Formats: sequence, structure tokens, C-alpha cells
Amino acid sequence: MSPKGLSAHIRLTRAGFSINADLEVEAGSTAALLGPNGAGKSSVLGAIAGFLELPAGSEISVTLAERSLEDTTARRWTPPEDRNIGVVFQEHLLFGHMTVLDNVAFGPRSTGSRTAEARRQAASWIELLGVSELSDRQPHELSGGQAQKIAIARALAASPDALLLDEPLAALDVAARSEVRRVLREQLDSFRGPRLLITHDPSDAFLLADTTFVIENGRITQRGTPDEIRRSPATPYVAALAGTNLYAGLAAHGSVLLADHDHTFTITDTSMTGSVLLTVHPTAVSLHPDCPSGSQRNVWNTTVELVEPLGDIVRITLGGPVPMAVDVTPAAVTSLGLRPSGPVWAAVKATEISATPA
Amino acid sequence: MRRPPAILLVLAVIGAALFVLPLIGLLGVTPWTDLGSLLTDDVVVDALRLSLITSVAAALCAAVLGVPLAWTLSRVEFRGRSLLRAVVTLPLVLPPVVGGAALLFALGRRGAVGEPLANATGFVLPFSTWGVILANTFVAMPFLVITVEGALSSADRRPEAAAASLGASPLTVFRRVTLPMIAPSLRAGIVLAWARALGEFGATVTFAGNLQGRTQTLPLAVFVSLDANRDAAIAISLLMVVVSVVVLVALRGRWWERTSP
Repeated sequence: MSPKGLSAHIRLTRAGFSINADLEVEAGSTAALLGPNGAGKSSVLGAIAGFLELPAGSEISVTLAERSLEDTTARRWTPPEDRNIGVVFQEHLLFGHMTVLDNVAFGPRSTGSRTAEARRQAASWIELLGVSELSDRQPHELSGGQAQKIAIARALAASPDALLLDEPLAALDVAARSEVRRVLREQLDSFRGPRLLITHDPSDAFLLADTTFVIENGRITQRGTPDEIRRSPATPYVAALAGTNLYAGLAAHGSVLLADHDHTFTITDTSMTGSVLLTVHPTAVSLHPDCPSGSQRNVWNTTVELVEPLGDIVRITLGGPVPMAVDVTPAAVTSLGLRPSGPVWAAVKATEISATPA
Repeated sequence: MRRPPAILLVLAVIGAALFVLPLIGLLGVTPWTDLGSLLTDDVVVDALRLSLITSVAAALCAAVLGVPLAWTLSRVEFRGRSLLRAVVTLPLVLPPVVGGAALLFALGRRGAVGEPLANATGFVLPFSTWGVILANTFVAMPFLVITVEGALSSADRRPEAAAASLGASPLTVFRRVTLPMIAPSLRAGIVLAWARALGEFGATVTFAGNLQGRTQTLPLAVFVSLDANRDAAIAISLLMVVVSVVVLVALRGRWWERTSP
């Protein structure tokens, strides 16, 4: 644990639902807290930020930059305004009665800067995010994506020691999502403190986080890098998430050169250019003993790494050149003679690969 | 649009008539030729001045004290909160004369609080303009407290959490986030309180008496004139209608319309 990091230990039971979660986030790194709705993600965020009314019997300790913010055993509690933790919410929660500039200046003003100085700082943050033309607008005049960028600027302008992001992209449409994701990634990269991203979307965790904590039913069921989680999913939920094969790459003329693997996929959208994120569902991949002669545009020769039964399907993990999870029936395993280290041909139709700008 | 149900329309017309007929009656008996001299009478001018000063002062007092009270009732959990809420809204149902009498027993020259206050400072509330403002505030503030507490209880709390995460102290959050969020309801509450204070009679006459220029507000002047000078009473009544209508219409665009969320 680096001295500037964030660590949180949370044990609480509310309305019959209990949360038992330990998180550590290093300074300068982004951790994702990934889980389905109702897994307890918001309660974890509320506990760290100090928003949560704690039920009796809760055990919470939160330490940030070697400062103990909360420790129920020592009866220590720091109010949210003294924690210096910035929060970006799913719905931007800008103050509707203030201009964009004054929204961003709110943090500096609240911590003692004079109005003019706070506005000057706010203006430079707004400029840094490339949205200076929005300064004089009212929040209701902004699109969802613009509002969320301003919310990010507002959180950063308060110069927090840590940044919490609560589903910051979930309320946005597809186009705004990739744009805000780009801004978010830039800002996260240059933010020195620990950052915790709360999300139900594995592609956000994959694109923005260095480490992912998976939370299910109030418990952390797995932690690791996206690759680690994909290679050895600890629960069916993680397996389903990890099975969503995600690849970052560069698109041009209907081909996508993968960023992390020596492989090129063909996609249907020939107009897409630049950074993209590809998603391949594990049931969309077909496996063959010999080079298939069908209409598939993406065909490659590979080896089987893992064969794992997952309920009534079998998850096959393919090795190089491009690691991929494939779900097949037990009958197919027998008929194809799939076994670890065995050779196999894989095929995906171009229409089965979905590409979004990243 | 379909024709509205007849029974609803009939009842609505009767309801509206209840408001319109007295106004027509008032206009019918108004001595239009003498109106100028009646309204420039000392009694009327004094009462109008006093009514405007005391009703505005009472609305402001109700806001300054009532908003923190509404905030406490809405946001602070404590034993006896329901009881306090009931006591605060008591003046809504209590006959104003009873309220005035109660004020007299507490704050009068021989009252539990009034006597030590008078002995220590020489300041006596009853039968002074301050007494009128106090009596008005007493009857008017519950309207503001109810309106504002309702707004506070139904307001979205998440912007307040966002403000706290930006380093704002609870008082700053209240001042810069909560108050602007409930501004439409606060404005409505102030208008309601002002309207109630302008028409206040019972508590004022009981607690502050009926002294021309000091405690005789427009409603009191109407009541006194009904016996002595009926035309004057009619003229003052008309004046009150005009003042009320002018203020409500003037505030309509800016204050009323935005009260619906």
C-alpha cells in the first residue's frame, strides 16, 4: 500500500442485506468496483464518501493518504466535507441555479478561495476539458455528455485526494459515452490520487481501470487485472462477464488491428476509424477441427487452453494469437475432441463483432 | 376536448360566485364621488401605512425564523419533533383571539416573559407596533413553515451530498444549495404569510389593541368604521381589495407560476 493510497474495510448490514468488502487502491491507479445492480456498490461508495447513515453494528474503516477518515472501533467519523474525496455521480447533479462556471468554482469557494480566484481556477479546469464555450450556460442547457464533463471538472477543481466515480457513463447515450469515457480516461491518467470507478459495465472496467474488484451480494468475489479475471473467473457471474470478450484496437477500412494481440479482425462498419472497442460474445464463435469453408470473415488457427464446464455449457478458453472465451455444448466438446493444448480452428462472422468508438 | 361533467361545472360556478358576489356587493355600495376624501382621511392613511409596514415585517420575520424552524423539523431527528410540528401549526386552527390572549399572558406587561423583559429593558410589546408585528408573525408563520418544510422533505438530497463532497460545510450547503433549490416554495410561503398578516385582526386587536397610527391596521380600521362611518369602512375595504389584488398580480409572474415543481 503506497502512502497516498485509499483503503476501505466495510462491514455493515442494512435491511437484511450485508456488505463485507475490503478495497485498496494505490495512488495513481484506477480500481473498478464491478458488480450487478443491487450488489452493494453504492453502499460501498456511500461509506467511503461519508454519505451513508450507518446502521448500528457497522464496522467501517477508511484510510486515505495515511489519514484515518473513519474507524468505527475508535469511534472516529469524518464528515464528507472534510474527507477531501471527489465524487462524480451517475446523474451529474450539477447545481441547477448556478452557471457552469460557478458549479466548477463551488469546490474552491467552499474551501476558502475568494470568488474571483475560485472562478479563475474553475475556468482553467473547464478549459482543460475543452468545454470553455459552456462556461456561461445553465446546467439545463447542457447535453448529458456535456453535463457529465462539467461534473468531472467540478470534482477535480476541488483538488481532492481521491476520486470516486459512481457509474459516470451509465446515464449517457452511446455517442456521449465514448466521448465522456475518453475525457475521463485522460483525466484519470493525470490525477495523482487513487481513483475508484463503480460500474456494472465490464467494458468500462476494462478500459478505465488497472485493477478490478468484482462485488456480488455484498462480497468481493474476485480481484485482479482484466486478463487475470478473464483467465480464471471465480464465479458464474465473473465467468459471464469475463466471457464477454473485449479487445481494444485501431480501426481502418473495416479492419481492426488489436492493441494487445498480434491479430486483425474484420468488422462490418468500414467507416469506423481510430480507437475502437470490440466485443465478441462467447456463443458467437464457432470451433472447427479443420479450416472452415463457410462465409465467416474471421478465421484463425489456435490452441485450446482451458476446458471448463459451466452449468449446462462448456467454456473453452482459446490461447494465442488472440485469447478468447468460447461457449459450446458438451456434445461439441466430444465431437470436436476439444482438450487443453489441442489444435482448433475458430471462426466469427464480421456481423457478430460489435465495435464502439473508445 | 370533451364537455366537462355538468355537476362539476355547476358546483364550480357556485364556488366562484362565493368569491365574486361579495366583491360586486362591495363595488355596488362604494361611494365613488366621496372616495378621494374618504381615502385621504388621517385614519385611513395611518392604517394603510401601518398595515403595509407590519405585514411586510411579519412576512420577513416569518421567513427569517420560519425557514430554520422548517429545516430543523425536516432534517433534525429529535424527541418531540411531531409535538413541536403540531404546536407550530396550531395557529392555523386556533382562533386568532385566543392566540392574541395567549401572547398577552406570555409577553404582556404582567406576562411570564413580558414582565422580566419590561423590568430589565423597559421594553413593552403589547399596544405597540412591535406587538402588531409579533401578533402577525404568530398567525402568519405556520403557512411559511408548512410550505417550506414540505419542500425540504421532498427535495432531492443528492445535490447536498455532492456539495458536501466538494468541501462545503453544512451551513454553506444550506445557503448555496438547499435554499436556492427550495426558492419557489420559499417565495410562495412568504406570499402566503404576507397575505395572512395583511388580513390579521383577532390576535392583533387582543394583543396590540386599536391605537390609530400605532396598532390600528386596515382590518381594525374597517371594523371600527363599520359603526361610526359606514362609507369609510367601505372605502377601506375597497382599498384592501385593491392592495391585495395589485400585489398578487404583480408577484404572479415572478413568484406564483414557478411554485409548481
